[in-house]
Amino acid sequence: MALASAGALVAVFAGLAAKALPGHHTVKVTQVRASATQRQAVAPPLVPVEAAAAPAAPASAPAPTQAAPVVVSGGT
Amino acid sequence: MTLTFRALGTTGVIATGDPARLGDACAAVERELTAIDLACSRFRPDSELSRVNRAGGERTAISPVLLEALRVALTAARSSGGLVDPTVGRTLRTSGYDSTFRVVAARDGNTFRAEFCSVPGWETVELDEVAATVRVPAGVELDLGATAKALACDRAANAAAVVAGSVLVSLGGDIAIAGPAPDGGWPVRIADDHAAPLDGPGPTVALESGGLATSSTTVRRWRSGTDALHHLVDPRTGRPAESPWRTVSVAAKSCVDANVASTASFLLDDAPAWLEARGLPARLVSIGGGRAVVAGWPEDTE
Repeated sequence: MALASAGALVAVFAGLAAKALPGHHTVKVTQVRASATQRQAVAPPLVPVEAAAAPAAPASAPAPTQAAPVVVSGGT
Repeated sequence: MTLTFRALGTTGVIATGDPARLGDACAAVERELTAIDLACSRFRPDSELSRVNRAGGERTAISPVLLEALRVALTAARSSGGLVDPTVGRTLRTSGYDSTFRVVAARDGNTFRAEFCSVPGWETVELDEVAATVRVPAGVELDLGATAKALACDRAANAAAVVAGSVLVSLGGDIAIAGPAPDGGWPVRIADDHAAPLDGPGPTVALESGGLATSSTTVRRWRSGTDALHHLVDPRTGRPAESPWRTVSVAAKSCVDANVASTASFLLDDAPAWLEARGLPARLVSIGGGRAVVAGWPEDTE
């Protein structure tokens, strides 16, 4: 946020300077770009991916059955 | 009571213990599948995932659904030691799996030539759960095929169980169960292809809870000249996995966990030992047709 404000201020001054001193316009634009680059370098805090263990076992294993199946599990 | 439908490029089945509640269950399932498709489809240009893949390295705001799907995908990558990796999207696309499988299957394999890319790795994905944003480096393409369909199953079954009690949801043979199972459990036939007939060959097992997933290299295949390709990519090579197994079925606490394990089994040096050590009941069928069962999966009786 501070960097964004600083960048905005630089942009304001760059605009004023460009009107008053057209020959210095390029220098001021460079300062704005430097500020933007600096802001991008500050990465937002990343939350670690859940440190989940390996896939969890079911409550019970599949059991043999003679019942008629309702669905087929197979490759897609 | 069951209902069969098409969704996410495959066949789905909903079963409810109470036939009178099948309609309510279907409505709940449809809402969940629509949300997952809009968030996670690699083949819809208007999906959130497509937008992330096109972002050119820029950070992208994402919905709670895609946030959960990415969290699940990255957790799967970590828990499998990187064997189930969502950054395989680019090599999948360039190797020919660049559209819905109906389109891929209809392509002339004699003239098509696959190209393969290295897989950047899941660690390159920056997921910010607080800000609900994700950034993938330019050129990296995500594919959530290894986990999103299973997540859709889990979410759909849980949502349907709220209104229908006892529910089974299957998407392309990946199965999630929610609510109390009927007496004797849900009977499920195991086969190479989920589209096999209910009265076809293969053992039938009963499930009480959790999820069941079957991965196979025998179904979603296409050709590049004389080479036969399939969709299970080895992130270490960027190419279709070379495995002693052709079909692996795993039961787990959830459909996502089952699918992560069944997919990883194609890439592990010793899949039966890995599954046994984690208490994951599984049935593995080798390329030659030999069968192995681990962790309490019942022996085939036929």
